[in-house]
Amino acid sequence: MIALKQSLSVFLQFMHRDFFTRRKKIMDNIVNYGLIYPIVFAIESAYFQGRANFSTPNPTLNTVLFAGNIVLVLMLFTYKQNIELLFDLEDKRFIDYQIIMLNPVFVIIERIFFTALYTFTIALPYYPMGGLILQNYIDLSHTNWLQLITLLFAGSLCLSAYHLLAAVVLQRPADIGALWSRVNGALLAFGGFWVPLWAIKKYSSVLGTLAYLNPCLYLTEGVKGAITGSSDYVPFWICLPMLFAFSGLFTALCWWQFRRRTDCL
Amino acid sequence: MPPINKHYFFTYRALVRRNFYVIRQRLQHALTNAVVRIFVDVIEFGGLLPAMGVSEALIAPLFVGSIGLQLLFQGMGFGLRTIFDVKFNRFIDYHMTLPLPKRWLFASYITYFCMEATIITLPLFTIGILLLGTKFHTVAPNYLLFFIVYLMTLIFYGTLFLGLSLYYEFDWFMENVWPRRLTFLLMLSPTFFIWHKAYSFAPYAAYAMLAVPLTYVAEGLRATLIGGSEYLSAYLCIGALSFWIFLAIVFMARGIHKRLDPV
Repeated sequence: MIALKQSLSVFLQFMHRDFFTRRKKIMDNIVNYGLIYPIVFAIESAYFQGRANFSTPNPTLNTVLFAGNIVLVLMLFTYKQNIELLFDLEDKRFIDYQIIMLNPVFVIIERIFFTALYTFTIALPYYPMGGLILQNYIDLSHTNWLQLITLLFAGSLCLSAYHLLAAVVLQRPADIGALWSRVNGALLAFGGFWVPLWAIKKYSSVLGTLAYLNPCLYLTEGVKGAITGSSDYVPFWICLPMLFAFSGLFTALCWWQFRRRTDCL
Repeated sequence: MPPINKHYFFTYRALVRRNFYVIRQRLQHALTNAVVRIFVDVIEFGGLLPAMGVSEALIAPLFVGSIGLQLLFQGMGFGLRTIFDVKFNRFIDYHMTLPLPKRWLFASYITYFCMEATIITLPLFTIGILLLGTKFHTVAPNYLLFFIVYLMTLIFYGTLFLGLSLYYEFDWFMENVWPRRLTFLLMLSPTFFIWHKAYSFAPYAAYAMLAVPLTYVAEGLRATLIGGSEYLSAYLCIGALSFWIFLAIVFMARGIHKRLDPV
């Protein structure tokens, strides 16, 4: 019991340390991810793409196009926070100090959880900001806000775990380009960044089936369903457990690879 | 030619040869990355977006717009390599000591980017267009003008990213260059739609896009590779890109003085 209390205390101190080291960039991150991205994505997707590329533009279509863009914001932000571990493993190895202080599995969980919380907080203004900028073009009137917020947290957690896994799997920083080109690009394109699952299935049933293996899809489909209230998307009660399941899977894989890499007990 | 310039030329040629060697070392890795991206783009623009309701007539212009995006990613990779070198390795210090005027030296950097991007992207775009087959409707392509626009795009991106990586501090570049500079350039340009369509429902916004250099990249590539009256004139795009290259060179020169302080 005492050991558990001590572990929890160190866990919270590491959380505090993570906040401390990032506090100077919080304002920049809020401006970049909570202000610039939603405004620019809203204008580009909901206003220009929705009207220029589709024969029958309507607010629902604009909203769907804008809603999927959140996956890129979460991807970029979780990547920026968690890829630091790759550089640390290469050079300073601050992680060695951390795994002496706390059970390594808790170190991994702490990093994933902190990044998830941070990302979730930064991403919260995304939809209200988009709706504020393009009131007549984005329809948020049917939004189930509780479902949306829950999905944003689950998505942040899942992508945080995914990028920490990437940080321990990649052998050197030069491989980051390959991560984005070969994996993340495909995850975004077939994960509902623009195109929902029903359109992927319409194009190819094989691709539509494979898309179920893509964790980004559950985030975008859930978010699109929560915002539009439509039954065209994968239901919330499937998306949320799937996002948590992927989070668990990525955390387990991350722990397994981390043990191999750092040779910790 | 005075002997001193001949000497410069030989040093420059040695740098270009070294560049070829570096490209050869990275080629397999970079080509694999580009192949995956092209296949994803072909499926997305050629299949998924039409399945969602985008007209088939827009497949070609959207795919060509994505070529501009791929070149931007290549430019970002070049910018990242440069800023990591300036911050950590400082191989650039050795280059600065070479018996070569600085403008020749930085011209060799941009030449390197142009060579690398051309070797990696040009064959793949051809494959992409072949994969799209009949979905890639062309009206009156002009390949000579396409090559000119393509080359000018590469020179613009090379100069821009060299300037960005030298002008800004490492931390600022890593945190902010994408959201605060490139996102605006990319998202407020007609990369993912056609300028004339935007003009039909938002003329003032379309005019504002004319102040964004990526407008001329996307529309110039479309006008030359697809042709027809749907796009901005290729000659207008070439003129505008020349102007933007000039501005990028001025910006790069400021970056060089700020970061490297050459004598």
